Amino acid sequence: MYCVKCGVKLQDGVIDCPLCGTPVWNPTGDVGEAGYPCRYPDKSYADRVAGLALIGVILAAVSLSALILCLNTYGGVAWSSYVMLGAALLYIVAFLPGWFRKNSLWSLCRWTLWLFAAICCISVSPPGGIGSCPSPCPW
Amino acid sequence: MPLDNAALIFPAIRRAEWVNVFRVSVTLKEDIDPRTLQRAVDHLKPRFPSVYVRLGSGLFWYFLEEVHAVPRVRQDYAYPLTHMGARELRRCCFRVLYYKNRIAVEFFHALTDGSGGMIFLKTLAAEYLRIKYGTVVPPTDGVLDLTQRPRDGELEDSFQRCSGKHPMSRAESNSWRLSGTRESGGYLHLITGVIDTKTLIAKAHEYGGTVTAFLAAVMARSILDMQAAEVPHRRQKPVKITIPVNLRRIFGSETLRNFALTVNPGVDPKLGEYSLRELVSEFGHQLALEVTPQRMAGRIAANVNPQKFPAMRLTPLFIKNTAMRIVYDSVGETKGCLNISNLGAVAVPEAMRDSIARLDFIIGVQYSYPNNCAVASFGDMTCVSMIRNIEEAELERRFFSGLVELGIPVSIESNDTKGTQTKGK
Repeated sequence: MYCVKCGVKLQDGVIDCPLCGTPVWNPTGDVGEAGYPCRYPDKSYADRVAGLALIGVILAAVSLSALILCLNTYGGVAWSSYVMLGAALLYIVAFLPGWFRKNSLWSLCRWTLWLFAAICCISVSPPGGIGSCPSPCPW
Repeated sequence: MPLDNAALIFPAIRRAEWVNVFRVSVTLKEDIDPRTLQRAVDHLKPRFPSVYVRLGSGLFWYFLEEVHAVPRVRQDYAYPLTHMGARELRRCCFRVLYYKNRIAVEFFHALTDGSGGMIFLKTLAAEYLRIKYGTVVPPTDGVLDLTQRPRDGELEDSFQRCSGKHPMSRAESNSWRLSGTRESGGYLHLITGVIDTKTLIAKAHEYGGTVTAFLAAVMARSILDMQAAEVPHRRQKPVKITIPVNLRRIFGSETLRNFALTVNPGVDPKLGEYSLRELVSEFGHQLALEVTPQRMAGRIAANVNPQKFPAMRLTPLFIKNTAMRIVYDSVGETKGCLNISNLGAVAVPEAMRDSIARLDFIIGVQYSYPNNCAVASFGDMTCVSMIRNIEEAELERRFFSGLVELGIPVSIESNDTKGTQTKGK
């Protein structure tokens, strides 16, 4: 059998040409031998996107817990800023580049800039943030 | 055993979903008996200490360590070169697969290259035929004598011996990038074009080039057409084909480890249009210019010298890995559109020639290239195996139909069973 569009010879039993998808005329109904079995490998490695998302959720939960604790105890963000900043730093430096397939150098630079921006924002944040804990705060 | 110079990059750049692997396979004329195949795999272990290894990591370097347990042979999968994860690499860096009358061996590229892999496969097939049918295959044409101990030359890192004194610059222009819709789950499409060797050689000679230059030229013409259809002329980039060069013949090495380097011949469409004859001439001349002992020694030096820096040796592995990955992502896969790796005419001893139907060579996709191509000839049959991790088969269609238009009959085989009525799945 031949593909009428590509002109290549095809295996017996092919319904569509694997190159162009053109339906194949098979008047004799020949059935071919499969070159590969229908057996797929076990996925032994964790899905990358799911893993990155899970780590993000865990770090966000830790940050949120610290924030709620500080709000209830001290009435402000207090030391939870350090926890949130640490979690953000860890995620941005260690895990965030993993979202980008193409160029880890560029993504690392980009998100490092975002990190600096975040630090700048926090450093000029109003009372209640870093460096201005209320009196009960041990820090 | 330390990794050879070319192998250093492969463990560092592997990802959770990608690793650099390749496959060589032999199709016999009768169905494979898995038990006999397992016995053959067991018998080869003392002769190939550089292959029966696992990947280990120390504080400063990766290393290869001989395995105690021989890997079990297993049935083939729905697509070749399924992912070889970190856990598997820590157990053994190669796998032996069988399906119907085919024996396939898939190697992590840090172990060896296509030529070394083919020697292992031929020796495995010879031992299988000896056990199964009593065929006595003499140790010639790349089949090794299992009664002998491995020679020092087979285990050497030939890059260290053949390195030149002065490194050659690696600076060169970037190439246009192929792209497409990525397949999910790591599935790879394989399309193999089976071509009559004599017809292919005659056509290559008609256009004034070697088979490699001719295939690279037809591939480049296909990619040039694709780029012209997608990109305005002023923004077009050079189209370059990465071609691995077997250095064993150039430097007289018998190593079974990696000993190949790549060159990137190509053309710039901004300079004007090229006929196929001009493309064949360009690729043939660029290959001839690059593949000389002096230039190859300079290229080897550029890779070997950094390995010798004291600061590099004392840098912890995780820092080296990060640096190598960043460099690889930035420049490692930007110099070519795809690989065409041609093993050439594979010779086998006369005693086993009649038992073999065909030999195949398949290389996996690169991390960012969606397509790759490998070629191997056995007797009258040349198998051009094109693999891809994207849905679109546009490059394959243009390439194979281009060969047909030139008067070269091509038989197409595919691992996709969606469009096939088959028996014996």
